[in-house]
Amino acid sequence: MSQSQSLKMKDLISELKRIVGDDYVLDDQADLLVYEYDGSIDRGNPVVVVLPNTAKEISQVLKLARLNSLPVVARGAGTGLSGGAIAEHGGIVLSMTRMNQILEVNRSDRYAIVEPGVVNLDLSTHVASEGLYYAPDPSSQRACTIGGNIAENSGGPHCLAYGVTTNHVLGMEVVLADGSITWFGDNERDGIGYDLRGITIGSEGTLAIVTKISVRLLRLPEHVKTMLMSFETIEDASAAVTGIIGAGMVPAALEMMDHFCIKAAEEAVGAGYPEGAGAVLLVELDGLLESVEEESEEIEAICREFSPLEIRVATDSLEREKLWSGRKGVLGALGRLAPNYYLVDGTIPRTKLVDVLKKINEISERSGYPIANLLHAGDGNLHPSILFDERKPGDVENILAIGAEILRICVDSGGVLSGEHGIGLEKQDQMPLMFSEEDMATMSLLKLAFETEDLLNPGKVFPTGAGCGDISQARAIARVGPGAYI
Amino acid sequence: MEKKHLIDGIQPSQGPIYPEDTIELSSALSDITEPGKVVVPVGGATRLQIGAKMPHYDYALDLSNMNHLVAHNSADLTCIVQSGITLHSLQNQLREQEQFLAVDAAFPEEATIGGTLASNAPGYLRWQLAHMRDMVIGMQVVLPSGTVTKSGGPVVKNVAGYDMARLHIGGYGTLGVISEISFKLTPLPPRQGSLLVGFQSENELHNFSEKVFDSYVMPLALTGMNEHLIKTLQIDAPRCRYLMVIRIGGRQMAFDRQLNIMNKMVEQYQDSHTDFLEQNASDRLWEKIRDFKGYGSISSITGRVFSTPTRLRGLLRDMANYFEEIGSTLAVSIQPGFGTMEFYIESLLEEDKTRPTQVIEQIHNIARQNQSHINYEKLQPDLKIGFNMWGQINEGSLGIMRSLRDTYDPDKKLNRGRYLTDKEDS
Repeated sequence: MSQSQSLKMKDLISELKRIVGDDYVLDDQADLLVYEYDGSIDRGNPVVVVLPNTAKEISQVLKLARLNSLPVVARGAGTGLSGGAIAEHGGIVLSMTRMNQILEVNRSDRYAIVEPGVVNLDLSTHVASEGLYYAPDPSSQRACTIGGNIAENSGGPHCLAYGVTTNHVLGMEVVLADGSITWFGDNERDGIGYDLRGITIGSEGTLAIVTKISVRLLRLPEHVKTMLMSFETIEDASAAVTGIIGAGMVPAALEMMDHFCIKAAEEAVGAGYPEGAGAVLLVELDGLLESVEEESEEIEAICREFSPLEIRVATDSLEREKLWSGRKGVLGALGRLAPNYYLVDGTIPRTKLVDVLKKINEISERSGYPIANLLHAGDGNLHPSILFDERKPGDVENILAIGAEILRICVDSGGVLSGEHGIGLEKQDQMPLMFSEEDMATMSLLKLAFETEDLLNPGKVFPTGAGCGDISQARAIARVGPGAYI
Repeated sequence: MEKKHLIDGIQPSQGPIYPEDTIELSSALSDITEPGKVVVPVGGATRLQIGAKMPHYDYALDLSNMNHLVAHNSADLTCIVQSGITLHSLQNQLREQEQFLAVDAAFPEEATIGGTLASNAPGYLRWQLAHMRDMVIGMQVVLPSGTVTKSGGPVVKNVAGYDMARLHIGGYGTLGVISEISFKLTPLPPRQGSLLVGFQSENELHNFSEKVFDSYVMPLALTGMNEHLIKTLQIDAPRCRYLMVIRIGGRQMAFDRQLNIMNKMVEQYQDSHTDFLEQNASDRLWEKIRDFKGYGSISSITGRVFSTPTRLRGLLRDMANYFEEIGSTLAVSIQPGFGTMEFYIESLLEEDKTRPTQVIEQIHNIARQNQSHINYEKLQPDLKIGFNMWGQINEGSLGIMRSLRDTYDPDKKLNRGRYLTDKEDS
């Protein structure tokens, strides 16, 4: 860095400190290290991290960034799995964690207004005494923020019946790239004009910075029933899922875990999963007592056609929580089976589960890498997790190639590249598998309509011009520094 | 020219275009290169009266021949349709597999899926089954240039790329022409029926709807209406000043339980009138409610207000008071779960020519005072001139909307001058 550049940087830091306060600007290398990664394989060093507390502060930061042509990346808890919060081009990381207030709960109209740094689960906990909850429940809900959920349009196990984040956001206050502050939508459930709220959700922070969010709250159900069904093979469990959906049943949640996941979850949390099973289904129904009972009888009958080893019903809330603890803790538990795992996120038509899982199993056998299968099976959202050891030469290259092959199978089966983790950096070069140049050019125009200078989270979502496949892997490998944990 | 291509008395200067598929649709748009030509995509023309009055238009791009169910994957609860298929045709085909698309826009025999989405048509099935935009999982759109583009896909969960379909739902065909849509579907409830509860006061109507909202009952649809609408629709609800119609569905035991819960609620209202309609009668009633979109006379007015459930109380009161004050009648329906209201004015006593203008502006004021937004759906063409039918949108959002319009249709080839993004002189 030249002297003039460093002087300029010194001025910039001073100005940022003036805007948000001395304690909320981080430019020490040790501090910046914490912000160079998220939950994905990617790495990127910001020049400076700013922790704003208001939309007005963010507006001023964006105006300053614009003057200095510095990219700005908004970041929640950093739990994202596709590199969306990575400052690949340096610049400013806006850490939204100070903006963590639940500003309003309106029980009568069933909405809450929250700041983007509110942790997902905290909102449901906060409104539980009112008999309400916020439906989207990503597995990382104890840590991830609602702002981050909006950027990625996050899902979760209970999105099968209740929909993903976009189905639960009524409106949002945003700061645009030019620093102007406005609202997209408000507390109403419908409106006129283009759906700017809807297009911003899932745009990975590339269109605007969200500073307040009005979310829809749901009534806590009268009754919840959680069932664990174990099967000898993953094919039997998959066929049962296809049977349930094909019969027109839409449970609140329908999750699947294979024998690797069962083993890991059992060792880690002792969730009570049968270790000898090839796969288990975790089925949850909620609603009116009568409705739950009628539907659970039908689901049990469907599952019995596929020779389950066991059908177990949680008898109380403690047992239900125990069953869910295995599911929600399984990713962390995979560390017991291998030093590293690489989680793939793709969605397929639910009728293709048996075929696609068979192909994934073939890849595992051929390559020698164990693949643990964790699925939001009810909506066809796969999370094959490739187990490996990054210290072994060639492992990183191999697992990235396997991940790409699995995604290609998903797309070839009529599915998509991502069900809930987003494209970010991880899959940007695989976008051509799913979209034509015209499709992507049309999407890129959207970014231009919001801002012309590519200030907000540049270099995400769209291919870098290199194409896909091998080059994507090469880029990903290049980003994985020594000792990086994947 | 077909009669349905006449918009606010304006007929197209050229003959209509009837593409059979996406390729023909793309060619039709790319072939129109002469600057200044205006194209209006047309489906069933059931909602073409919405929007500002156009100075002129050249081509009706009629999608009624693009009317096929492309794929119905019943085991996956998804389907793909061409945008010109009518709601009626689609629902009939889905019903064979005991499924349906949870969209119940008016005049389903004529209304196309594309037009229903583009015009963000209201429906009643939103209480339990959410907004129709939440049923869309993928969309193919032809841009004004003729470029064919898609987003999403035929799976129920997808976050790959921007969710472009969102822009076209409620976009009134100003950013592109919807050519194909992937939907997620809903199983038909094994049993359905409707409970009618009549009240003497507006207060009772609101209190009851709040109780339903707060209970474990999950109606498929719920609407309240005032005396004028009850009479207009010729609903048999004697001596009722207000009526709530609640449609419930589900398996037998769950259905019975919901009905029991509501019957217990009704017991608290001593003067209330109740009636229960089994499925066939219930379906006929909802068809009647669904298909009433305003009175037939040229001077009649229809509007839609977007609000929140609790603000509807003030809105309904203020609107009723105002119409009593001016000595006119107003038919109103509210959807408390969704926070919307539709109002229908048969005619205004025209003491002078400015009267209708004053009334619609005052309705705007009432909506504003109740922190709500209003959109006129039917207004006689000469009243549209110089009047913003779309209501107020904040400047920040409007700026982005105009930028989107300029980006995707810089020449304003599609629907020029009709949408809220277009200035009157455009």
